[in-house]
Amino acid sequence: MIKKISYFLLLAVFGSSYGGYMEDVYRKAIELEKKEKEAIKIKKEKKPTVYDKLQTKIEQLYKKHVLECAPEEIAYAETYIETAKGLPLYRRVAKVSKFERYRLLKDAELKIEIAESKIYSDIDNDGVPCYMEVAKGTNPYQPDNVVKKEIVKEEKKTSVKVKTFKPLKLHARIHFDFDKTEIKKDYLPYLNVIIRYLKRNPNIKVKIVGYTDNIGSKAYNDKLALKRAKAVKDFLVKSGIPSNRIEIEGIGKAKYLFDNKTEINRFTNRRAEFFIMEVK
Amino acid sequence: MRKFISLILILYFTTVFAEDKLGNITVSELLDEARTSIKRAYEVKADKVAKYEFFRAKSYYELAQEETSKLNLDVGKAAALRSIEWSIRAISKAIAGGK
Repeated sequence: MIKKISYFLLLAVFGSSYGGYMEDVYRKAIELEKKEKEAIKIKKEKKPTVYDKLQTKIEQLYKKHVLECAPEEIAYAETYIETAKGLPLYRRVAKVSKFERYRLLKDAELKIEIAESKIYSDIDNDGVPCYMEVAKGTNPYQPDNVVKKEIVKEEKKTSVKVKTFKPLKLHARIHFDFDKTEIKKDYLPYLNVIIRYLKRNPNIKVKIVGYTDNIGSKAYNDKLALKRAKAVKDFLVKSGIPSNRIEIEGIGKAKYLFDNKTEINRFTNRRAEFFIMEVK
Repeated sequence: MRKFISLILILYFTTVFAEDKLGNITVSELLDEARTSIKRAYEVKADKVAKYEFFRAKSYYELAQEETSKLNLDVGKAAALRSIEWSIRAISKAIAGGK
């Protein structure tokens, strides 16, 4: 009996000490694993991806007027990078295969290289590289002598005052939803630019012409077009442009920009446009 | 609780139906639309006035064609949509005189 009890006690003591030892080992292993995971995370965060590298390169090129010197190359490069990243489609992301991604990134790199070489090249052979010409404000596609001659010609032309009916040289088109006359929030920045332009040039009178798509009767569309023009006029008047400087006109079911077969075309046709009417 | 569940169900079904409506458009339809919109951009001389926007549209269209030919229809659709978006931008910039 005593033997049995002593065996039992020995087993209990040994078991408890062994259990404690195993617990320590287990804790140390967990800590090590945590540390390793953290180290991997830090490594991942520090390493810039291929996309980051290409993006920084593109940003550098933008500073050197790549949009003026090599618009085609930079457009292609950006498209390739965006596609390699994955394009948004409705609520998910459409991704290309791994091989395709690799090929696209290589193509993007190539296009960036070409764009870079175009920036430093002298397109018009006048001895000044493209990016410097853009920075100066001269045309990189024409030698400087020609530009000077054109400027002299333009000065002569501007000395004669011309009273013409021409479109405003700003992004001056506003589109409307179907059967609506409310100005969409998206166009407010454009309108603000126009307001600033009109305030800077108090001699200019403006004509706002409203248009519609081909849905509905002619009489209704004429009214709707006029209402659209009036809505834009009201906004300008509210922003401080005197109403005697603004004229409005409504042209319904005519002068379409595109045919009315698709929704996009009809949306493009439902618009209000600005025209300079008179330069005093 | 009932109100909450019904609200979630309504939201779910409306989004599902909305996606269904968009999802019904085939890749070939989108490619067709992208091609015509690039053509329109070219007609208003966007290739000279709004070069960057025009070439973005063109590059997306080329990619869409390529991916569709490989039966990667999702990417084809997405690229065609992007192409339409960029050609509209090119058209509006060209009409505004490049500003």
